Amino acid sequence: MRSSRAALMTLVVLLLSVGLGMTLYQVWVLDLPLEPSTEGKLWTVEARLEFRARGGRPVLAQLQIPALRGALAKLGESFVSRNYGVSVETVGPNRKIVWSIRRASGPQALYYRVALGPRVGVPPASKGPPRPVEPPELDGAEQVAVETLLESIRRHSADIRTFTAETLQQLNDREDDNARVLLGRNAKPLAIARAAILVLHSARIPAHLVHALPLRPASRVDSEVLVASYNGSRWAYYEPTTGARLDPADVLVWWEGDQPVLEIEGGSNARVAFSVREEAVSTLALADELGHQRSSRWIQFSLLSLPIQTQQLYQVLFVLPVGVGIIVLLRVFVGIETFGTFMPALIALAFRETELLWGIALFALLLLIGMTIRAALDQLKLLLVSRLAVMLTIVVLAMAGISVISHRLGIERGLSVALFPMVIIAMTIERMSITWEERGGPRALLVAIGSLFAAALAYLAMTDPIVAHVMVTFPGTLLILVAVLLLAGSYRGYRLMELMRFRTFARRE
Amino acid sequence: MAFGRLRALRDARVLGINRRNRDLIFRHNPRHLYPLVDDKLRTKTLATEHGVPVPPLYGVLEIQHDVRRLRGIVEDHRDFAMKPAHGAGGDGILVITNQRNGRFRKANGLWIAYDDVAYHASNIVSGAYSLGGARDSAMIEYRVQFSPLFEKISYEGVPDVRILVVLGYPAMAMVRLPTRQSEGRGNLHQGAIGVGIDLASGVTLEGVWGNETIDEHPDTGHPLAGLPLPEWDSFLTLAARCYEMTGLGYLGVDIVLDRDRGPLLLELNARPGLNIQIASGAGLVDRCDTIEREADRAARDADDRVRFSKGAFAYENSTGSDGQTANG
Repeated sequence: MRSSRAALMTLVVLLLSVGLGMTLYQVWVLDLPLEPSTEGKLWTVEARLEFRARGGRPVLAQLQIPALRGALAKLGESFVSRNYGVSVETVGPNRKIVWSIRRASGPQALYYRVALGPRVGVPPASKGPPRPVEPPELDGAEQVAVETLLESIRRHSADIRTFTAETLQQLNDREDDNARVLLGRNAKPLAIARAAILVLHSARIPAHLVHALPLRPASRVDSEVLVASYNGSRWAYYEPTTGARLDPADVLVWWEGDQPVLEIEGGSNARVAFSVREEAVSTLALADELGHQRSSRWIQFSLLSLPIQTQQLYQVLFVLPVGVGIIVLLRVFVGIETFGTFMPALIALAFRETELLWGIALFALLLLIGMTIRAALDQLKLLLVSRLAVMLTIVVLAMAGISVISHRLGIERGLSVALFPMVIIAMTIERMSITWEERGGPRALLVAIGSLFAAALAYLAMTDPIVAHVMVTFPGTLLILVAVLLLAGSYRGYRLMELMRFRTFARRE
Repeated sequence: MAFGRLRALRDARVLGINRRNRDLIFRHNPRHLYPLVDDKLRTKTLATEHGVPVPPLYGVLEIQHDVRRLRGIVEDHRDFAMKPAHGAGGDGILVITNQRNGRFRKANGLWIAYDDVAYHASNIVSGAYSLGGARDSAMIEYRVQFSPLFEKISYEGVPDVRILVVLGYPAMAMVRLPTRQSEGRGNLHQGAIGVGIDLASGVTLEGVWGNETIDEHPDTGHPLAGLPLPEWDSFLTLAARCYEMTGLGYLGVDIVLDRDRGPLLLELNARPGLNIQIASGAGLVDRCDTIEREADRAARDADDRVRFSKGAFAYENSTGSDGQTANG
C-alpha cells in the first residue's frame, strides 16, 4: 500500500515535470503565446488530386498551385507524392506542380499542402506594374456592343475600381442587348468574366481571369472564377456575377488565366478537392520560426504532418481528455451520478455541433421518446440484445422524425439532432430504464439531470477557445492532465454529496 | 457550513465511497472472486460445502428445456420459493405458500395455475430478471418460515439482517425492514428501513429511512429500537464464516431468520453500501482500522473473531459519551 502510493507520487511528479517542462520550453524558448492570437489568421490549404491510372502506363499529372504574390505569404508547403517524381515549374504568372511516374495502376491520390500566413515586414515579391494593354481587335457586332457598353460604363463610373464593378453589373443585366451580344446565351461566371476582361482591355485597363479559393474553414471547397483588374497601384478582385469587390485577405489566388486546374496523361476520372483550415497561430508560427530545415524535420513528427482531415479530428480528440477530466472531478469530488462513466463527454461532443441549449432540449426530447417506447417494449419481455437493437432503430427513427418536423417548422437547428451518437443514446435510455425500475423515477431523473449537467460543463470546457488552443499547441498539458487524473484516482476523502448523505452525523455533534 | 459538516463526518470516522473503493474493495476483494457472490446458485453450493446454513435447494432450471422438470420438483414440496440466480433487488421472486388441486397459492393469497408458475420459470431462465438480460437459472428452494419476531415492524416482505464483515470480523450490522414504499422488498434504496443492531448484544438501535433517522415503522407505527434478536451469536458466526468461504475481505452478508432452522444465509454482496453507518450511528473507518490491526496480529477462527468484534464494537464504545444508549 505504502509502496504503491510512493510509486504513484513518483509517477505524478515525473508526469508533472515532463509536462510542465515541455510547456514552459514552448512558452519561454519558442515564445509561443498562451492565448490564441488575434492578429492575422493562418491557413492550411490542401489540394487532393485523385485519379485512376490506366494499368501500368506512364502518368504525368500537372496541378496548378498558388504563386502567392498577394497579401498571403507561404509559411511552408509539402507534397505527398508516394513514388512519384515531383517538380515545380513556373509558367508565366503561374506555378505548377508536375508529378510523374513510369508506371502506375489503380486509384491514385496525391496531395499538395501549403501553410499560409499574413505577409509581415517583407513586401510581396511584386512583378511590378503590368504592361500597358493594347485594345483587342474586334469586328462587327462585338465592336459595336463593346463601344456602346464602354460609353455607358464611363458615364456611370468615377475610377477604375467603380469601372470594373460597373462593367460586371452591366454584363449581368439580362435585358441589355449589348451584354447579350458578348455573352451569347451563356451566363456562367466564366463567360461573364471573359466578357468583362474583353471590355476592360478595350478600355486599356489591365485585367485577367483568376481562379481563387475563398479563405474560410471548409473541408471541401471549389475554386471560383474572379476578375482581377489593376487600378494603377494594386490588383483588385471582383466576383463576376455580383460585381462585388472582395477583400484580398479573404481570397487565395490559386492560378491566373484560362488554363485548367489539372492536366493529366495516363489517367482518367481525375478530380481535385480543396480543403481549407484555419490554423492555431502558434503551431504554424513555430514552424515558420524554426526555419525551413529544422521545421521540416520537426514537422515530420508532429500532428502537422498529417492530412488536414486527420488533423481536424485530432483537434477534437485533444480536448476530449479535458471533458473526461471534468467528469472524473465531478464524480470523485462532488459525487454527481451519471449514466455511464464517459457518456456525458460523448454527449458534450455532440453539443459542439448543436450548441448547448438546443443540444439539451433535443437530448431530453430523445430520452423522453425513448423512455416511453422502452416502457411499452418492456411488456414484451424481450431479450437484451434484441431490445437494444429495437431501441437503437427507434432512436434513429425518432431522430429522423425530429429532423423532418423541425425542418417543416423552419427550425434548422433541429436538423443537427442527426449528430447525436445514437448508440450512446440507446444505451442511455436502457440504463435510465433500469435505474427507473430499480431505484425509482425521481432517482432516475436525478441521474439524468446529473448527466446533462456534467455534459454541459464538459461542453463549456471543451469549446473554450483558450482551452482548445492550449491543448493543441502544448501537448505537454496532456501529461499534466494525466497527473491530475492520477491524483484524483487516489483521492480517499469525502465527496461533496456525502456531506448531504451523512448529514445525520453532523446533527449528532 | 460545508466545512463544519466535513469536520463532523471526519470526527465521526464515517467511511466515504472513495475510501471504501480504494481501501476496502480494491485491496480486499480480488475481482476474480466476484462470481462467487454474484451468482446465488454458486453461493449456495459453496455455503453447503462449507457447512454454512442456507435455505435448502429443491431444484435448478438452467435452460428452457429444463422447465418441463418443474412439475417433478414442485410435486414433493407444498410450499417453495422460486428466484433468479442473478436477480437483483428482489425482482422475479415467486413465493408459493400452498398447493391444492393442481393450483398454487401465492404469498399474497392469489391462486394461480401450474402454467403460470412454469411461465414465470421460463421468464427467469430467459433472463427477464437478470441485470443486463443475460441468460439465467431459476432456483427452486425452501420457503423461509419467517420468525414472528419482526411482524410488528415490517410491511409484507422479508426482513433480513445485513452484517458487514471485514477480513472475517463482523464490523457492523443492521436489519432491513420492508415498507409499503419498498413494496415488500428489502433494499434501502428502494425505500426499506435500515435499523442498526448493537454487535455486542444483538439489540436493535434507531432506524434510517432514506438518509434520515427514524424512530418508528412508518406503516405499523411500532418503535424500531430495543428489539433483541434471538440466536445473535449464530448470526455473527455465520457471517464471519463467509470470509473463509469466499475469500472476500469486504463482504455484506444477508441473513434471514427462519422459525425452525434459525439464521440462514440468503445472499452475499461484494460491494455493500455505506448507509449501514447511518443506521448504526457510527463510522466504519476506526472499526476497519481496528480489524486490520487485529487481523495482522494473528490468524483466528470465526468464533474468536466474533468474540473480538463483540468486545471491540459494542454500541456504547462506538459512539462515545453522547449519552445515547440502546433502549433494550
